[in-house]
Amino acid sequence: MHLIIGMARFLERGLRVAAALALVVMSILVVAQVVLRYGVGGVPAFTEEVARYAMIWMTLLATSVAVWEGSHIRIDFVPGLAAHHAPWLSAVLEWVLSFISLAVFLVLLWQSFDVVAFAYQQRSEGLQIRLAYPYAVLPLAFGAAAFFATLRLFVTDPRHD
Amino acid sequence: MTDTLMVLLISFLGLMVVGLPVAWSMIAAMLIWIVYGGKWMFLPIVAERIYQGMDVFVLMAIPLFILAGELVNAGRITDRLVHFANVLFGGMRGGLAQVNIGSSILFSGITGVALGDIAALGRVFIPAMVRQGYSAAYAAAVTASSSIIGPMVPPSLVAVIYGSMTGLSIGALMAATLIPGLLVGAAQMVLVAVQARMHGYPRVDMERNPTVIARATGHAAVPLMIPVIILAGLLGGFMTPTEAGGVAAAYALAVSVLLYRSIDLRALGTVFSHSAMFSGQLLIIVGCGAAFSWVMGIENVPSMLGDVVTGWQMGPIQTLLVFNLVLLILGMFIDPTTVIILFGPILSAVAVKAGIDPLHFAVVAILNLNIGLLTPPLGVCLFAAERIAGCGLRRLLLASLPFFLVNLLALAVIVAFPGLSLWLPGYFGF
Repeated sequence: MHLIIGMARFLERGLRVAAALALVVMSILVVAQVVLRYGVGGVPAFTEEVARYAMIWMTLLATSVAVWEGSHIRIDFVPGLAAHHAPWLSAVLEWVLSFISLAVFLVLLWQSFDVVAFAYQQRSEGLQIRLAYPYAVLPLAFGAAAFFATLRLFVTDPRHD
Repeated sequence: MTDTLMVLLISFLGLMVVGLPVAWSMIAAMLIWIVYGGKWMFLPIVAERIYQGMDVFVLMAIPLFILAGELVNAGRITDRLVHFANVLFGGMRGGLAQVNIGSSILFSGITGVALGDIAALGRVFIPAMVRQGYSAAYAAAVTASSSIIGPMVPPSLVAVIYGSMTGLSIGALMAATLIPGLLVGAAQMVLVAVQARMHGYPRVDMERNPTVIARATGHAAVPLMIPVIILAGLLGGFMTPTEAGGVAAAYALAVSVLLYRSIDLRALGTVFSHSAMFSGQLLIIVGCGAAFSWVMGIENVPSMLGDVVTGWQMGPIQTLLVFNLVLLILGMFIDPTTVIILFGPILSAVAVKAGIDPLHFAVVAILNLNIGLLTPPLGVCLFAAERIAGCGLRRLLLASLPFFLVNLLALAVIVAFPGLSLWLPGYFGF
Protein backbone atom coordinates (compact mmCIF):
# COMPACT_ATOMS: atom_id res chain seq x y z
CA MET A 1 0.00 0.00 0.00
CA HIS A 2 2.89 2.36 0.80
CA LEU A 3 4.19 1.92 -2.73
CA ILE A 4 0.81 2.81 -4.24
CA ILE A 5 0.45 5.86 -2.00
CA GLY A 6 3.98 6.89 -2.97
CA MET A 7 2.99 6.63 -6.63
CA ALA A 8 -0.15 8.65 -5.95
CA ARG A 9 1.89 11.40 -4.25
CA PHE A 10 4.26 11.49 -7.23
CA LEU A 11 1.33 11.68 -9.67
CA GLU A 12 -0.37 14.37 -7.57
CA ARG A 13 2.76 16.55 -7.59
CA GLY A 14 3.14 16.12 -11.34
CA LEU A 15 -0.49 17.04 -11.99
CA ARG A 16 -0.28 20.03 -9.64
CA VAL A 17 2.83 21.37 -11.41
CA ALA A 18 1.21 20.78 -14.82
CA ALA A 19 -1.96 22.65 -13.74
CA ALA A 20 0.13 25.58 -12.45
CA LEU A 21 2.13 25.66 -15.71
CA ALA A 22 -1.10 25.68 -17.72
CA LEU A 23 -2.17 28.74 -15.72
CA VAL A 24 1.20 30.40 -16.44
CA VAL A 25 0.77 29.74 -20.19
CA MET A 26 -2.81 31.02 -20.14
CA SER A 27 -1.86 34.20 -18.23
CA ILE A 28 1.07 34.98 -20.55
CA LEU A 29 -1.09 34.53 -23.65
CA VAL A 30 -3.92 36.72 -22.34
CA VAL A 31 -1.53 39.53 -21.37
CA ALA A 32 0.27 39.11 -24.71
CA GLN A 33 -3.07 39.65 -26.47
CA VAL A 34 -3.47 43.07 -24.86
CA VAL A 35 0.16 44.05 -25.46
CA LEU A 36 0.07 42.92 -29.10
CA ARG A 37 -3.26 44.56 -29.85
CA TYR A 38 -2.14 47.97 -28.56
CA GLY A 39 1.55 47.53 -29.51
CA VAL A 40 1.48 45.89 -32.94
CA GLY A 41 -2.17 46.37 -33.83
CA GLY A 42 -3.03 42.72 -34.29
CA VAL A 43 -3.23 39.46 -32.36
CA PRO A 44 -2.42 36.01 -33.81
CA ALA A 45 -5.59 33.90 -33.75
CA PHE A 46 -3.88 30.96 -32.07
CA THR A 47 -3.27 32.85 -28.80
CA GLU A 48 -6.93 32.79 -27.80
CA GLU A 49 -7.30 29.15 -28.77
CA VAL A 50 -4.23 27.95 -26.89
CA ALA A 51 -5.19 30.03 -23.84
CA ARG A 52 -8.60 28.32 -23.77
CA TYR A 53 -7.00 24.89 -24.06
CA ALA A 54 -4.59 25.80 -21.24
CA MET A 55 -7.52 26.81 -19.02
CA ILE A 56 -9.32 23.52 -19.67
CA TRP A 57 -6.17 21.49 -18.99
CA MET A 58 -5.58 23.47 -15.80
CA THR A 59 -9.15 22.90 -14.66
CA LEU A 60 -9.29 19.18 -15.28
CA LEU A 61 -5.81 18.47 -13.90
CA ALA A 62 -6.60 20.51 -10.79
CA THR A 63 -9.89 18.63 -10.53
CA SER A 64 -8.11 15.29 -10.25
CA VAL A 65 -5.71 16.66 -7.61
CA ALA A 66 -8.73 17.95 -5.65
CA VAL A 67 -10.11 14.40 -5.57
CA TRP A 68 -6.90 13.28 -3.87
CA GLU A 69 -7.06 16.20 -1.43
CA GLY A 70 -10.80 15.82 -0.86
CA SER A 71 -11.05 19.57 -1.46
CA HIS A 72 -13.85 19.75 -4.02
CA ILE A 73 -16.59 22.25 -3.20
CA ARG A 74 -19.39 20.49 -1.36
CA ILE A 75 -22.05 21.12 1.27
CA ASP A 76 -20.36 19.68 4.33
CA PHE A 77 -23.21 20.28 6.78
CA VAL A 78 -24.33 16.62 6.95
CA PRO A 79 -20.77 15.18 6.91
CA GLY A 80 -19.84 17.71 9.62
CA LEU A 81 -22.80 16.69 11.79
CA ALA A 82 -21.94 13.02 11.30
CA ALA A 83 -18.26 13.59 12.16
CA HIS A 84 -19.27 15.43 15.33
CA HIS A 85 -21.96 13.07 16.61
CA ALA A 86 -21.20 9.64 15.14
CA PRO A 87 -17.67 9.15 13.77
CA TRP A 88 -18.52 5.63 12.55
CA LEU A 89 -21.42 7.02 10.49
CA SER A 90 -19.10 9.67 9.10
CA ALA A 91 -16.62 6.97 8.01
CA VAL A 92 -19.40 5.00 6.29
CA LEU A 93 -20.78 8.14 4.62
CA GLU A 94 -17.36 9.20 3.30
CA TRP A 95 -16.76 5.67 1.96
CA VAL A 96 -20.10 5.68 0.13
CA LEU A 97 -19.42 9.15 -1.29
CA SER A 98 -15.97 8.05 -2.50
CA PHE A 99 -17.58 5.01 -4.10
CA ILE A 100 -20.17 7.12 -5.94
CA SER A 101 -17.41 9.49 -7.08
CA LEU A 102 -15.40 6.53 -8.35
CA ALA A 103 -18.40 5.25 -10.32
CA VAL A 104 -18.86 8.70 -11.88
CA PHE A 105 -15.16 8.92 -12.84
CA LEU A 106 -15.16 5.44 -14.39
CA VAL A 107 -18.16 6.28 -16.58
CA LEU A 108 -16.59 9.60 -17.58
CA LEU A 109 -13.25 7.86 -18.28
CA TRP A 110 -14.96 5.26 -20.47
CA GLN A 111 -16.92 7.90 -22.39
CA SER A 112 -13.99 10.27 -22.77
CA PHE A 113 -12.08 7.70 -24.84
CA ASP A 114 -14.95 7.84 -27.35
CA VAL A 115 -14.88 11.65 -27.27
CA VAL A 116 -11.13 11.67 -28.02
CA ALA A 117 -11.54 9.11 -30.81
CA PHE A 118 -14.29 11.23 -32.39
CA ALA A 119 -12.27 14.44 -31.95
CA TYR A 120 -9.34 12.84 -33.83
CA GLN A 121 -11.34 13.38 -37.04
CA GLN A 122 -11.75 17.12 -36.38
CA ARG A 123 -9.29 20.00 -36.52
CA SER A 124 -9.21 23.22 -34.50
CA GLU A 125 -10.14 26.53 -36.16
CA GLY A 126 -6.96 28.47 -35.40
CA LEU A 127 -4.05 26.08 -35.14
CA GLN A 128 -5.58 23.38 -37.34
CA ILE A 129 -4.39 20.70 -34.91
CA ARG A 130 -6.40 17.54 -34.32
CA LEU A 131 -8.93 18.25 -31.58
CA ALA A 132 -7.99 14.94 -30.01
CA TYR A 133 -4.94 16.66 -28.46
CA PRO A 134 -6.78 19.20 -26.31
CA TYR A 135 -9.51 16.62 -25.59
CA ALA A 136 -6.85 14.12 -24.39
CA VAL A 137 -7.01 15.80 -20.99
CA LEU A 138 -10.43 14.18 -20.40
CA PRO A 139 -9.22 10.54 -20.08
CA LEU A 140 -6.03 11.72 -18.38
CA ALA A 141 -7.85 13.71 -15.68
CA PHE A 142 -10.73 11.27 -15.13
CA GLY A 143 -8.26 8.35 -15.07
CA ALA A 144 -6.21 10.08 -12.36
CA ALA A 145 -9.41 11.02 -10.51
CA ALA A 146 -10.57 7.39 -10.61
CA PHE A 147 -7.17 6.27 -9.26
CA PHE A 148 -7.32 8.78 -6.40
CA ALA A 149 -10.97 7.95 -5.61
CA THR A 150 -10.04 4.24 -5.45
CA LEU A 151 -7.28 5.04 -2.95
CA ARG A 152 -9.73 6.99 -0.83
CA LEU A 153 -11.83 3.83 -0.46
CA PHE A 154 -8.97 2.20 1.43
CA VAL A 155 -7.33 5.04 3.33
CA THR A 156 -9.17 7.82 5.19
CA ASP A 157 -6.79 10.61 4.32
CA PRO A 158 -4.23 9.46 1.74
CA ARG A 159 -2.12 12.58 2.26
CA HIS A 160 -1.19 11.54 5.79
CA ASP A 161 -1.54 7.75 5.88
CA MET B 1 -43.33 17.70 -13.90
CA THR B 2 -42.26 14.42 -15.53
CA ASP B 3 -41.07 11.50 -13.40
CA THR B 4 -37.64 11.61 -15.09
CA LEU B 5 -37.25 15.25 -14.06
CA MET B 6 -38.29 14.35 -10.51
CA VAL B 7 -35.62 11.63 -10.44
CA LEU B 8 -33.01 14.06 -11.80
CA LEU B 9 -33.76 16.78 -9.24
CA ILE B 10 -34.21 14.50 -6.24
CA SER B 11 -31.00 12.57 -6.91
CA PHE B 12 -29.07 15.81 -7.48
CA LEU B 13 -30.33 17.50 -4.31
CA GLY B 14 -30.07 14.28 -2.27
CA LEU B 15 -26.47 13.61 -3.28
CA MET B 16 -25.47 17.23 -2.80
CA VAL B 17 -27.02 17.47 0.65
CA VAL B 18 -25.31 14.31 1.94
CA GLY B 19 -21.96 15.78 0.95
CA LEU B 20 -21.04 14.56 -2.53
CA PRO B 21 -19.08 17.37 -4.24
CA VAL B 22 -21.44 19.65 -6.17
CA ALA B 23 -19.84 18.86 -9.55
CA TRP B 24 -20.12 15.10 -9.13
CA SER B 25 -23.66 15.39 -7.71
CA MET B 26 -24.72 16.89 -11.03
CA ILE B 27 -23.01 14.21 -13.12
CA ALA B 28 -24.21 11.35 -10.89
CA ALA B 29 -27.78 12.71 -11.09
CA MET B 30 -27.47 12.92 -14.88
CA LEU B 31 -26.28 9.31 -15.03
CA ILE B 32 -29.21 8.21 -12.83
CA TRP B 33 -31.53 10.20 -15.13
CA ILE B 34 -30.08 8.41 -18.18
CA VAL B 35 -30.42 4.96 -16.61
CA TYR B 36 -33.90 5.58 -15.17
CA GLY B 37 -35.29 7.12 -18.34
CA GLY B 38 -33.47 4.70 -20.66
CA LYS B 39 -31.96 7.74 -22.40
CA TRP B 40 -28.78 5.92 -23.41
CA MET B 41 -28.23 8.04 -26.51
CA PHE B 42 -27.23 10.93 -24.21
CA LEU B 43 -24.52 8.96 -22.37
CA PRO B 44 -21.70 9.56 -24.91
CA ILE B 45 -22.34 13.31 -24.83
CA VAL B 46 -21.89 13.89 -21.07
CA ALA B 47 -18.06 14.13 -21.03
CA GLU B 48 -18.06 16.31 -24.14
CA ARG B 49 -20.65 18.66 -22.61
CA ILE B 50 -18.42 19.13 -19.57
CA TYR B 51 -15.50 20.03 -21.84
CA GLN B 52 -17.54 22.37 -24.01
CA GLY B 53 -19.08 24.03 -20.96
CA MET B 54 -15.58 25.20 -20.02
CA ASP B 55 -14.42 26.02 -23.55
CA VAL B 56 -15.56 29.64 -23.29
CA PHE B 57 -13.22 32.63 -23.64
CA VAL B 58 -14.80 34.79 -20.92
CA LEU B 59 -14.35 32.03 -18.30
CA MET B 60 -10.59 32.70 -18.40
CA ALA B 61 -11.36 35.84 -16.41
CA ILE B 62 -12.09 33.65 -13.36
CA PRO B 63 -8.60 32.13 -12.87
CA LEU B 64 -6.99 35.46 -13.74
CA PHE B 65 -8.98 37.37 -11.10
CA ILE B 66 -8.17 34.62 -8.60
CA LEU B 67 -4.49 34.83 -9.54
CA ALA B 68 -4.46 38.62 -9.08
CA GLY B 69 -6.02 38.21 -5.61
CA GLU B 70 -3.57 35.46 -4.60
CA LEU B 71 -0.61 37.58 -5.75
CA VAL B 72 -1.81 40.51 -3.69
CA ASN B 73 -2.36 38.32 -0.62
CA ALA B 74 1.07 36.77 -0.93
CA GLY B 75 2.59 40.19 -1.58
CA ARG B 76 1.73 41.31 1.97
CA ILE B 77 0.04 44.54 1.03
CA THR B 78 -2.57 44.17 3.78
CA ASP B 79 -0.56 46.33 6.21
CA ARG B 80 -0.54 49.25 3.78
CA LEU B 81 -4.32 49.12 3.31
CA VAL B 82 -4.97 48.76 7.04
CA HIS B 83 -2.74 51.76 7.79
CA PHE B 84 -4.57 53.81 5.15
CA ALA B 85 -7.96 52.80 6.61
CA ASN B 86 -6.65 53.72 10.07
CA VAL B 87 -5.80 57.21 8.87
CA LEU B 88 -9.18 57.59 7.16
CA PHE B 89 -11.56 56.05 9.70
CA GLY B 90 -9.65 55.49 12.95
CA GLY B 91 -10.46 58.95 14.31
CA MET B 92 -14.16 58.05 14.59
CA ARG B 93 -15.62 56.63 17.80
CA GLY B 94 -15.32 52.83 17.70
CA GLY B 95 -12.32 53.56 15.48
CA LEU B 96 -10.89 50.08 15.11
CA ALA B 97 -14.28 48.57 14.20
CA GLN B 98 -14.71 51.33 11.61
CA VAL B 99 -11.20 50.67 10.31
CA ASN B 100 -12.11 46.98 10.05
CA ILE B 101 -15.08 47.81 7.80
CA GLY B 102 -13.13 50.45 5.88
CA SER B 103 -10.30 47.97 5.26
CA SER B 104 -12.85 45.47 3.95
CA ILE B 105 -14.07 48.04 1.44
CA LEU B 106 -10.51 48.81 0.33
CA PHE B 107 -9.44 45.16 0.40
CA SER B 108 -12.51 44.12 -1.56
CA GLY B 109 -11.23 46.32 -4.33
CA ILE B 110 -8.27 43.97 -4.53
CA THR B 111 -9.46 40.41 -3.99
CA GLY B 112 -13.24 40.32 -4.39
CA VAL B 113 -13.60 37.13 -2.35
CA ALA B 114 -15.31 37.28 1.04
CA LEU B 115 -13.37 34.42 2.60
CA GLY B 116 -10.05 35.88 1.43
CA ASP B 117 -11.02 39.10 3.17
CA ILE B 118 -11.55 37.27 6.50
CA ALA B 119 -8.32 35.28 6.15
CA ALA B 120 -6.29 38.42 5.50
CA LEU B 121 -8.04 40.95 7.75
CA GLY B 122 -9.48 38.74 10.51
CA ARG B 123 -6.04 37.81 11.80
CA VAL B 124 -5.09 41.47 11.96
CA PHE B 125 -8.26 42.99 13.39
CA ILE B 126 -9.81 40.43 15.72
CA PRO B 127 -6.82 40.23 18.12
CA ALA B 128 -6.25 44.00 17.82
CA MET B 129 -9.89 44.78 18.65
CA VAL B 130 -9.85 42.38 21.62
CA ARG B 131 -6.73 44.15 22.95
CA GLN B 132 -8.63 47.47 22.77
CA GLY B 133 -11.45 46.10 24.92
CA TYR B 134 -13.99 44.92 22.32
CA SER B 135 -15.45 41.46 22.97
CA ALA B 136 -14.04 38.69 20.75
CA ALA B 137 -17.57 37.96 19.49
CA TYR B 138 -18.11 41.59 18.45
CA ALA B 139 -14.71 41.71 16.71
CA ALA B 140 -15.58 38.52 14.81
CA ALA B 141 -19.07 39.82 13.97
CA VAL B 142 -17.68 43.05 12.47
CA THR B 143 -15.05 41.10 10.50
CA ALA B 144 -17.49 38.52 9.15
CA SER B 145 -20.23 41.02 8.33
CA SER B 146 -17.93 43.44 6.54
CA SER B 147 -16.40 40.62 4.50
CA ILE B 148 -19.54 40.37 2.38
CA ILE B 149 -18.74 43.80 0.95
CA GLY B 150 -15.89 42.09 -0.95
CA PRO B 151 -18.03 40.33 -3.53
CA MET B 152 -20.03 43.54 -4.07
CA VAL B 153 -17.21 45.98 -4.84
CA PRO B 154 -15.22 45.58 -8.08
CA PRO B 155 -13.30 43.49 -8.96
CA SER B 156 -15.86 40.95 -7.82
CA LEU B 157 -15.18 37.32 -8.66
CA VAL B 158 -18.87 36.55 -8.12
CA ALA B 159 -19.79 39.23 -10.68
CA VAL B 160 -17.36 37.65 -13.16
CA ILE B 161 -18.97 34.25 -12.64
CA TYR B 162 -22.47 35.74 -12.85
CA GLY B 163 -21.61 37.49 -16.12
CA SER B 164 -19.96 34.37 -17.53
CA MET B 165 -23.01 32.24 -16.76
CA THR B 166 -25.77 34.63 -17.81
CA GLY B 167 -24.13 36.45 -20.71
CA LEU B 168 -24.56 39.83 -18.99
CA SER B 169 -21.72 42.31 -19.50
CA ILE B 170 -19.16 41.83 -16.71
CA GLY B 171 -18.23 45.52 -16.93
CA ALA B 172 -21.88 46.48 -16.46
CA LEU B 173 -22.18 44.08 -13.52
CA MET B 174 -19.13 45.53 -11.80
CA ALA B 175 -20.49 49.03 -12.29
CA ALA B 176 -23.92 47.91 -11.03
CA THR B 177 -22.58 46.37 -7.80
CA LEU B 178 -20.32 49.31 -6.84
CA ILE B 179 -22.87 51.71 -5.30
CA PRO B 180 -24.87 48.95 -3.53
CA GLY B 181 -21.58 47.53 -2.17
CA LEU B 182 -20.57 50.92 -0.79
CA LEU B 183 -24.10 51.35 0.61
CA VAL B 184 -23.79 48.09 2.56
CA GLY B 185 -20.41 49.28 3.91
CA ALA B 186 -21.84 52.67 4.88
CA ALA B 187 -24.84 51.05 6.62
CA GLN B 188 -22.51 48.87 8.68
CA MET B 189 -20.39 51.91 9.59
CA VAL B 190 -23.48 53.76 10.80
CA LEU B 191 -24.41 50.76 12.97
CA VAL B 192 -20.90 50.65 14.45
CA ALA B 193 -21.06 54.41 15.15
CA VAL B 194 -24.34 53.93 17.06
CA GLN B 195 -22.98 50.94 18.99
CA ALA B 196 -19.75 52.80 19.74
CA ARG B 197 -21.69 55.70 21.25
CA MET B 198 -23.82 53.29 23.31
CA HIS B 199 -20.90 51.23 24.63
CA GLY B 200 -18.20 53.93 24.65
CA TYR B 201 -15.84 52.21 22.21
CA PRO B 202 -12.52 54.09 21.86
CA ARG B 203 -11.01 55.99 18.93
CA VAL B 204 -7.69 54.86 17.43
CA ASP B 205 -5.04 57.10 18.93
CA MET B 206 -2.58 58.17 16.23
CA GLU B 207 -1.20 61.30 14.65
CA ARG B 208 -3.10 62.41 11.55
CA ASN B 209 -1.20 65.37 10.11
CA PRO B 210 -1.04 66.07 6.34
CA THR B 211 2.35 64.31 6.00
CA VAL B 212 1.03 61.09 7.60
CA ILE B 213 -2.11 61.21 5.44
CA ALA B 214 -0.12 61.85 2.25
CA ARG B 215 2.33 59.03 3.02
CA ALA B 216 -0.44 56.54 3.83
CA THR B 217 -2.30 57.51 0.66
CA GLY B 218 0.86 57.06 -1.40
CA HIS B 219 1.53 53.61 0.05
CA ALA B 220 -2.04 52.46 -0.53
CA ALA B 221 -2.30 53.97 -4.01
CA VAL B 222 -0.11 51.29 -5.62
CA PRO B 223 -2.29 48.28 -4.69
CA LEU B 224 -5.49 50.30 -5.08
CA MET B 225 -4.59 50.80 -8.74
CA ILE B 226 -5.78 47.22 -9.34
CA PRO B 227 -9.52 47.99 -9.17
CA VAL B 228 -8.86 51.21 -11.06
CA ILE B 229 -7.17 49.32 -13.90
CA ILE B 230 -9.97 46.78 -14.05
CA LEU B 231 -12.80 49.30 -13.94
CA ALA B 232 -11.13 51.68 -16.38
CA GLY B 233 -10.34 48.82 -18.77
CA LEU B 234 -13.85 47.41 -18.67
CA LEU B 235 -15.92 50.58 -18.51
CA GLY B 236 -13.69 52.39 -21.02
CA GLY B 237 -14.02 49.48 -23.44
CA PHE B 238 -10.22 49.04 -23.70
CA MET B 239 -10.20 45.44 -22.51
CA THR B 240 -12.39 42.38 -22.31
CA PRO B 241 -13.00 41.02 -18.77
CA THR B 242 -10.48 38.26 -19.46
CA GLU B 243 -7.85 40.76 -20.54
CA ALA B 244 -8.63 43.01 -17.57
CA GLY B 245 -8.04 40.01 -15.29
CA GLY B 246 -4.76 39.27 -17.09
CA VAL B 247 -3.52 42.85 -16.85
CA ALA B 248 -4.55 43.03 -13.16
CA ALA B 249 -2.62 39.81 -12.47
CA ALA B 250 0.43 41.13 -14.37
CA TYR B 251 0.27 44.40 -12.40
CA ALA B 252 -0.06 42.53 -9.08
CA LEU B 253 2.91 40.35 -10.09
CA ALA B 254 5.04 43.37 -11.00
CA VAL B 255 4.16 45.17 -7.74
CA SER B 256 4.77 42.13 -5.52
CA VAL B 257 7.94 40.87 -7.21
CA LEU B 258 9.65 43.99 -8.55
CA LEU B 259 8.42 46.85 -6.35
CA TYR B 260 7.86 45.32 -2.91
CA ARG B 261 10.11 42.26 -3.46
CA SER B 262 7.78 40.35 -1.17
CA ILE B 263 7.40 37.21 -3.32
CA ASP B 264 10.33 34.98 -4.27
CA LEU B 265 10.31 32.30 -6.96
CA ARG B 266 9.23 29.56 -4.55
CA ALA B 267 6.31 31.61 -3.23
CA LEU B 268 5.39 32.45 -6.82
CA GLY B 269 5.11 28.74 -7.59
CA THR B 270 2.81 28.31 -4.60
CA VAL B 271 0.67 31.26 -5.74
CA PHE B 272 0.20 29.77 -9.22
CA SER B 273 -0.45 26.32 -7.78
CA HIS B 274 -3.07 27.63 -5.30
CA SER B 275 -4.73 29.73 -7.98
CA ALA B 276 -4.87 26.78 -10.39
CA MET B 277 -6.36 24.52 -7.71
CA PHE B 278 -9.00 27.02 -6.59
CA SER B 279 -9.88 27.95 -10.18
CA GLY B 280 -10.14 24.27 -11.10
CA GLN B 281 -12.59 23.64 -8.27
CA LEU B 282 -14.83 26.47 -9.51
CA LEU B 283 -14.53 25.83 -13.23
CA ILE B 284 -15.32 22.12 -12.99
CA ILE B 285 -18.67 23.15 -11.45
CA VAL B 286 -19.14 25.48 -14.42
CA GLY B 287 -18.40 22.59 -16.84
CA CYS B 288 -20.62 20.10 -15.02
CA GLY B 289 -23.23 22.84 -14.56
CA ALA B 290 -23.30 23.36 -18.34
CA ALA B 291 -23.92 19.64 -18.83
CA PHE B 292 -26.61 19.70 -16.13
CA SER B 293 -28.28 22.78 -17.66
CA TRP B 294 -28.35 20.97 -21.00
CA VAL B 295 -30.36 18.16 -19.38
CA MET B 296 -32.62 20.70 -17.66
CA GLY B 297 -33.17 22.21 -21.10
CA ILE B 298 -34.12 18.77 -22.48
CA GLU B 299 -36.59 18.49 -19.59
CA ASN B 300 -37.94 21.97 -20.45
CA VAL B 301 -37.25 23.35 -16.95
CA PRO B 302 -36.52 27.02 -17.85
CA SER B 303 -39.77 27.34 -19.75
CA MET B 304 -41.73 25.55 -16.98
CA LEU B 305 -40.29 27.90 -14.35
CA GLY B 306 -41.08 30.89 -16.54
CA ASP B 307 -44.70 29.73 -16.86
CA VAL B 308 -44.94 29.27 -13.09
CA VAL B 309 -43.71 32.81 -12.41
CA THR B 310 -45.95 34.29 -15.11
CA GLY B 311 -48.86 32.34 -13.57
CA TRP B 312 -48.35 34.21 -10.26
CA GLN B 313 -49.46 37.40 -12.07
CA MET B 314 -47.39 39.60 -9.78
CA GLY B 315 -45.59 42.85 -10.58
CA PRO B 316 -41.79 43.07 -10.82
CA ILE B 317 -41.36 44.23 -7.20
CA GLN B 318 -43.48 41.39 -5.75
CA THR B 319 -41.68 38.86 -7.97
CA LEU B 320 -38.35 40.29 -6.83
CA LEU B 321 -39.42 39.90 -3.20
CA VAL B 322 -40.25 36.24 -3.79
CA PHE B 323 -36.87 35.76 -5.50
CA ASN B 324 -35.22 37.50 -2.53
CA LEU B 325 -36.65 34.90 -0.21
CA VAL B 326 -35.67 32.02 -2.50
CA LEU B 327 -32.10 33.35 -2.91
CA LEU B 328 -31.71 34.09 0.78
CA ILE B 329 -32.72 30.52 1.61
CA LEU B 330 -30.50 29.07 -1.12
CA GLY B 331 -27.61 31.20 0.15
CA MET B 332 -28.08 29.77 3.64
CA PHE B 333 -27.32 26.29 2.32
CA ILE B 334 -25.21 26.59 -0.82
CA ASP B 335 -22.25 28.87 -1.52
CA PRO B 336 -22.91 31.86 -3.83
CA THR B 337 -20.80 30.74 -6.79
CA THR B 338 -22.49 27.34 -6.90
CA VAL B 339 -25.98 28.89 -6.74
CA ILE B 340 -25.06 31.30 -9.53
CA ILE B 341 -23.66 28.55 -11.74
CA LEU B 342 -26.64 26.28 -11.12
CA PHE B 343 -29.55 28.69 -11.00
CA GLY B 344 -28.21 32.05 -12.26
CA PRO B 345 -29.08 31.63 -15.95
CA ILE B 346 -32.54 30.21 -15.24
CA LEU B 347 -33.50 32.70 -12.51
CA SER B 348 -32.13 35.63 -14.51
CA ALA B 349 -34.19 34.63 -17.58
CA VAL B 350 -37.31 34.19 -15.47
CA ALA B 351 -36.72 37.57 -13.76
CA VAL B 352 -36.46 39.29 -17.13
CA LYS B 353 -39.72 37.61 -18.16
CA ALA B 354 -41.32 39.07 -15.00
CA GLY B 355 -40.22 42.57 -16.03
CA ILE B 356 -37.17 42.90 -13.72
CA ASP B 357 -34.03 44.53 -15.09
CA PRO B 358 -31.37 41.79 -15.35
CA LEU B 359 -28.65 44.01 -13.84
CA HIS B 360 -30.84 44.97 -10.90
CA PHE B 361 -31.71 41.32 -10.38
CA ALA B 362 -28.02 40.39 -10.51
CA VAL B 363 -27.13 42.90 -7.79
CA VAL B 364 -29.99 41.71 -5.59
CA ALA B 365 -29.06 38.06 -6.18
CA ILE B 366 -25.36 38.60 -5.38
CA LEU B 367 -26.14 40.51 -2.17
CA ASN B 368 -28.73 37.96 -1.04
CA LEU B 369 -26.35 35.07 -1.58
CA ASN B 370 -23.58 36.87 0.26
CA ILE B 371 -25.81 37.54 3.23
CA GLY B 372 -26.19 33.74 3.28
CA LEU B 373 -22.46 33.55 4.02
CA LEU B 374 -23.31 34.98 7.44
CA THR B 375 -26.11 32.60 8.37
CA PRO B 376 -25.95 28.97 9.51
CA PRO B 377 -25.88 26.22 8.42
CA LEU B 378 -23.44 27.22 5.61
CA GLY B 379 -22.24 30.53 7.08
CA VAL B 380 -18.63 30.05 5.93
CA CYS B 381 -17.65 33.64 6.76
CA LEU B 382 -19.19 33.30 10.20
CA PHE B 383 -17.32 30.05 10.88
CA ALA B 384 -14.04 31.43 9.50
CA ALA B 385 -14.26 34.46 11.81
CA GLU B 386 -15.23 32.27 14.76
CA ARG B 387 -12.18 30.07 14.19
CA ILE B 388 -9.93 33.12 14.52
CA ALA B 389 -11.80 34.65 17.48
CA GLY B 390 -12.56 31.41 19.35
CA CYS B 391 -15.59 33.08 20.92
CA GLY B 392 -18.18 30.32 20.42
CA LEU B 393 -20.79 30.31 17.69
CA ARG B 394 -23.73 31.29 19.93
CA ARG B 395 -22.06 34.52 21.09
CA LEU B 396 -20.97 35.31 17.56
CA LEU B 397 -24.52 34.81 16.25
CA LEU B 398 -25.89 37.19 18.89
CA ALA B 399 -23.24 39.81 18.10
CA SER B 400 -23.87 39.38 14.35
CA LEU B 401 -27.63 39.82 14.59
CA PRO B 402 -27.63 43.67 14.38
CA PHE B 403 -25.29 43.47 11.35
CA PHE B 404 -27.55 40.86 9.74
CA LEU B 405 -30.55 43.17 10.20
CA VAL B 406 -28.65 46.16 8.83
CA ASN B 407 -27.58 44.10 5.80
CA LEU B 408 -31.22 43.16 5.23
CA LEU B 409 -32.21 46.82 5.53
CA ALA B 410 -29.58 47.76 2.92
CA LEU B 411 -30.89 44.94 0.73
CA ALA B 412 -34.44 46.28 1.05
CA VAL B 413 -33.26 49.75 -0.03
CA ILE B 414 -31.40 48.26 -3.00
CA VAL B 415 -34.50 46.26 -4.00
CA ALA B 416 -36.78 49.27 -3.65
CA PHE B 417 -34.53 51.70 -5.57
CA PRO B 418 -33.29 50.07 -8.78
CA GLY B 419 -31.53 53.32 -9.67
CA LEU B 420 -28.85 52.53 -7.07
CA SER B 421 -27.83 49.56 -9.21
CA LEU B 422 -28.65 50.91 -12.65
CA TRP B 423 -27.44 54.51 -12.60
CA LEU B 424 -23.68 53.84 -12.90
CA PRO B 425 -23.88 51.21 -15.68
CA GLY B 426 -26.34 53.52 -17.48
CA TYR B 427 -23.86 56.41 -17.15
CA PHE B 428 -21.21 54.29 -18.89
CA GLY B 429 -23.62 53.35 -21.66
CA PHE B 430 -24.45 49.76 -20.69
